[in-house]
Amino acid sequence: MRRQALPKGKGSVSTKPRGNLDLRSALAWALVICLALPGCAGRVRPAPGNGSPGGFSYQPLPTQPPVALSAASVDKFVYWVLTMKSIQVDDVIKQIALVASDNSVVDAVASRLSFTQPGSVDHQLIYLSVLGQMRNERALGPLRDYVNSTACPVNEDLRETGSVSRASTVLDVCAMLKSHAINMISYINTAAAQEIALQVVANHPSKSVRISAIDSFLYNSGDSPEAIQVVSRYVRPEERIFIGLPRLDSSTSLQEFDRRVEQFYRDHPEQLPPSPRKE
Amino acid sequence: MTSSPAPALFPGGSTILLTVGLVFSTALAPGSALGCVDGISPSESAFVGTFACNQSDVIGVFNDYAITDESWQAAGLQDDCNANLPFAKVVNAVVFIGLGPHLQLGGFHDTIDYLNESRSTRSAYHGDFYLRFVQQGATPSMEADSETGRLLAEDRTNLHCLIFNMPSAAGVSAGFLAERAAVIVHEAWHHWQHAHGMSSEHANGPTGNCTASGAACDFYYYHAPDSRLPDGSLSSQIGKLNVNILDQPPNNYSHTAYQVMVEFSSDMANFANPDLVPFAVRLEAMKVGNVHISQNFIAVVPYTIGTPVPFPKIFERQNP
Repeated sequence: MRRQALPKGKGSVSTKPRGNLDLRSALAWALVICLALPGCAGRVRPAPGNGSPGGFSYQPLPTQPPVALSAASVDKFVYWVLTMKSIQVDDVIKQIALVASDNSVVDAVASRLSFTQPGSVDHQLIYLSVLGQMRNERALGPLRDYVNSTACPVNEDLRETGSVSRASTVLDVCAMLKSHAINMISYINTAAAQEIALQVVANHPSKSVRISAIDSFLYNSGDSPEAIQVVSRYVRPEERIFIGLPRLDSSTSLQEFDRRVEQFYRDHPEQLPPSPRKE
Repeated sequence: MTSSPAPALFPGGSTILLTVGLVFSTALAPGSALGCVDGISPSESAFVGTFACNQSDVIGVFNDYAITDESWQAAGLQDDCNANLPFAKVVNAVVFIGLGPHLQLGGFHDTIDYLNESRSTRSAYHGDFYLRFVQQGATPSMEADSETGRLLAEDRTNLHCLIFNMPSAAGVSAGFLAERAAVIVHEAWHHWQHAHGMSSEHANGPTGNCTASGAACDFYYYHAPDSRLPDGSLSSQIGKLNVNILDQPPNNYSHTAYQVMVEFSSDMANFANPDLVPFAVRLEAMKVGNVHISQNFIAVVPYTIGTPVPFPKIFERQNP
């Protein structure tokens, strides 16, 4: 097998061309190998090992000084949020609180919401988060338009039009972003925001987005029995099963989480998977 | 790289390719391939800034993950610290995988397990396979696929442009760090399935609760984070991702490819190293996990990852 040295790479690695057997050689080798092995194309057996990537040396993310948010500083502010470490979340929330009633900031952030010129997926997630955190009703229009945008079709839209047959590991990025957007609408949590969320529960084409609307509506209503009653009036009958699912985060009591999941399976034994089995 | 054609992987023309179970995918002929859209997001760039790109480390990943196919020549192998290009982006994903929960912090599994599972060289999880870079042009709808049980050839996983693309005028894409790492974990599980006699196929969707189209639906065999196994150990202890108990539910303990991907995403959202992984990447992982939970399982997965707030806080658990 030919090995090809790198002409100018920084590392002394070389690559392997593969699969370049011609048909006659392949058949000859097949005969030899089938005689030597228990089965043709047999399973490659696993072996003990403890591989890990090389010993990378790390330096922690720096704790950055907070950036003040204004209509003029949106890009700088969002860049800070995109690159900061998790413990600075409180700093972000404090900065946003200072301008929460400033409509020019809402407009400046909302003007960057785009599926066609997104910057990056992370940019879009953070723009949405900023608008949600502001809890300013002026953001509801842009957020609602984002959730309902036809510029970024969700899986169900694509299937409806028959335009693409998606397969294998494919992330529905449009549903992911729209789910975050409906979470932010729910977080604003005014009467108008709740009405939008309930309409999404009932009518959005994406099941992912509808489930997010159920979850976030309930979360922002304190998961109260009254809120469950309200959302039950809007949810599709086959999706009642998604009302009140437990949330798993780093503060969750694992015992309580496990208890609730097991209760779900007792209530819905039809959702238990069949026994796993070998081929 | 953007305008580079795919390399001619099979110059001889006549090649036998036999794959078992999974979606077939071949490199497009030179001239017909569309390149990836190169570039790096600020959050991934910040993450890259936390580790030094030493050649000895890069070569370690190159070997452990068998990023050794010549297809990577067109994807940045010659420029292996250039995080705008696919080769370095694979290295970034591997480093990310290595920063998950460790030593019983309340996650589903230990980061050492995710590393041993996801690497391409043989481990307790699977035999050898290698990673191949595949540009994809006319049908840019696949992120990755794996080929197992190949005749007279090493098994492999094909990584496509979708997990490397920066968003462009064409719209948003899945080319961000948390999804790329989860895809590598997902695809490696197909090799685990093959090595352990389990079916490595997905069910075709939409079916049941699964709304995805095509071969993209799995079952989910629930176990709790830190769940206790019959031998008294915890799922989050090293080696326990590799346990496979075939029994009636709820007494089984097994995993499918999408399930491992979701558990990994949950662990990264909740327990990734807070000093090295930017907030935005943890948020990515949370969103990735939730979309897969809602779209890729035949039966309902009865939980969501995280809370639906703008800036979810991370609470650090202490080692027991």
